[in-house]
Amino acid sequence: MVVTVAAGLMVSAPLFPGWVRYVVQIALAIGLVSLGVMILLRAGLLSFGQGLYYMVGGYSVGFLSRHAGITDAFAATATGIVASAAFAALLGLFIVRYRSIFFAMLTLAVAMIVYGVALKVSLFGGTDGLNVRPTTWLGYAPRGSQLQLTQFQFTVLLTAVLILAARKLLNSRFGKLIEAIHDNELRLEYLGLSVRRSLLAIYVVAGALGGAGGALAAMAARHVDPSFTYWTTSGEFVFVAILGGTGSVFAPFFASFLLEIIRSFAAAWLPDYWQLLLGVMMLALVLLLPRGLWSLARVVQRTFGRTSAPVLLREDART
Amino acid sequence: MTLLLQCRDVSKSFNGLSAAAGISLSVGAGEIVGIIGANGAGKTTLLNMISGYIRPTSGSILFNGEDVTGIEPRVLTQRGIARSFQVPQLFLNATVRENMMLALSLLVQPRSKLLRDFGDQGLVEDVDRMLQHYDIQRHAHTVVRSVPQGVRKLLDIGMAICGQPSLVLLDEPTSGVSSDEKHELMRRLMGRLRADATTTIFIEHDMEVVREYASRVVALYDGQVLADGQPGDVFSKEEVLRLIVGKTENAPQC
Repeated sequence: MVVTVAAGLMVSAPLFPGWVRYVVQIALAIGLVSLGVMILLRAGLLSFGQGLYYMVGGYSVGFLSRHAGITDAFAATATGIVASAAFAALLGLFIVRYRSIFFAMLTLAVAMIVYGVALKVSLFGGTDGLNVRPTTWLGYAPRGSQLQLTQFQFTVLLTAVLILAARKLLNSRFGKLIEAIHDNELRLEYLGLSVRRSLLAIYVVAGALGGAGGALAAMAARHVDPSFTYWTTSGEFVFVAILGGTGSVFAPFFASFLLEIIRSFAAAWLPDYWQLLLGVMMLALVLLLPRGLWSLARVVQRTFGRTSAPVLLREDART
Repeated sequence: MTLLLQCRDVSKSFNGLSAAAGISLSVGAGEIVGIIGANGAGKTTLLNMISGYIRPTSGSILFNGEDVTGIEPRVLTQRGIARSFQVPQLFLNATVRENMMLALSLLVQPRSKLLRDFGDQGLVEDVDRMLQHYDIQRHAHTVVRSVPQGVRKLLDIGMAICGQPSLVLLDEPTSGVSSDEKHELMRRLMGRLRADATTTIFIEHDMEVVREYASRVVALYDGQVLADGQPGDVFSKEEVLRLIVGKTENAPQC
């Protein structure tokens, strides 16, 4: 299904107006970061600081473009992913010792410290941030609408690859162990699993996804600034992850699309109230669909789907 | 007989309160040791120290001749010490089958297969065979949160010992299990452990069970070894009868 949708989007891309493609690109970028939040949520950890990796990914693109003159999309996203994974590995060493509110507050605190530093250090361009030069692909340097079109296709392709990888991970034995961490850490230790190392591993995965999202967003907007790691940005990723639910790797993307659509239209029609709209949505969701929008898909499947064998996995992500 | 486990003068105090006061105990390969004692005698503390959950204040523990004092449960599990709990430690939100699948993917299957699909056929078949063995296969698809205590108990033990450990520590395997199910549970469990000649240490309040299944009995009182020997000898000691057997028979079984 992922392959079909991705291929369909890439082929039909020229039919959409540029602004639609841009909205999709941003939605995919936010979806990737939120997918990281969702993976951590499965282990029972709420990261309120994924903006940090969004920023590391974004600035990897920014720095490469400004200081090294490298505009290649592959090099830039790879750097963004590797840099944020490395950051996550370093920070994770101490952060995965904490749980629940302590974990959430620490992630938030670190992201905000980085925000504070980035504002003051001229390297990051202050509140104005850095502009990113037009992206190239292994020497291919399109201009104008062709540039945006290629960028769109690249974004769809990379996102599809990462979704497939994340799905493979979550459906694996390790993926199931991640959920078990939330349930009973003591038992896992007595089964010989290092809970801390496992959490570190998924924290790095979440960081890498954050970096990928940040790199894609920076290339799409051709701009990156310290607000990438501001707490409202991180909050948005949490919002999207909870809105979608933890039921499937597609859930965060479903939610981020909805968010971007609402943002686009509400900004035009209700410029002063659109955050109110988000608040109402969240309230309704928590009250009516506590497992997120994705649980709607389950309801639809159960109602219209053919009667199938007993479901083996509780929250099985295969769709 | 080769010595598998040696506890040398092991003590543990919690903020000045002594839970174990110089316990020395050697267990040979293949023995089935029943540990008896009143509440607070230090039985669980001893198991916690052997399995690495808590570090003794003083003394040392040797497993297979190696000093393992203070090594974490995770590492000891990999070296072959398995442990079950008085209150079953399970994944409450997963089904019985999934619980066993998780245990098998960690203890039986190689680590290199951790990225394999969770529901792969080989794993499912192995698990179903084990559930069958413990006679809990009819609960396979039920979430652990809603299965009876007896099933949880068996599952907890089954998960702990699925990796063919060389030493098994069972903390009150029959607690919370109705008295008519108790003997069936022990028969099944001990049958398996004996067949594999697995060294076992179990804590038990039901003296009848201890007498029937233990090849050796260790009586703890106030953090110390009160008696250690053949079940017949230990149960005929006057202090054991007065301090442990008498008390546990009058006290409510918990």
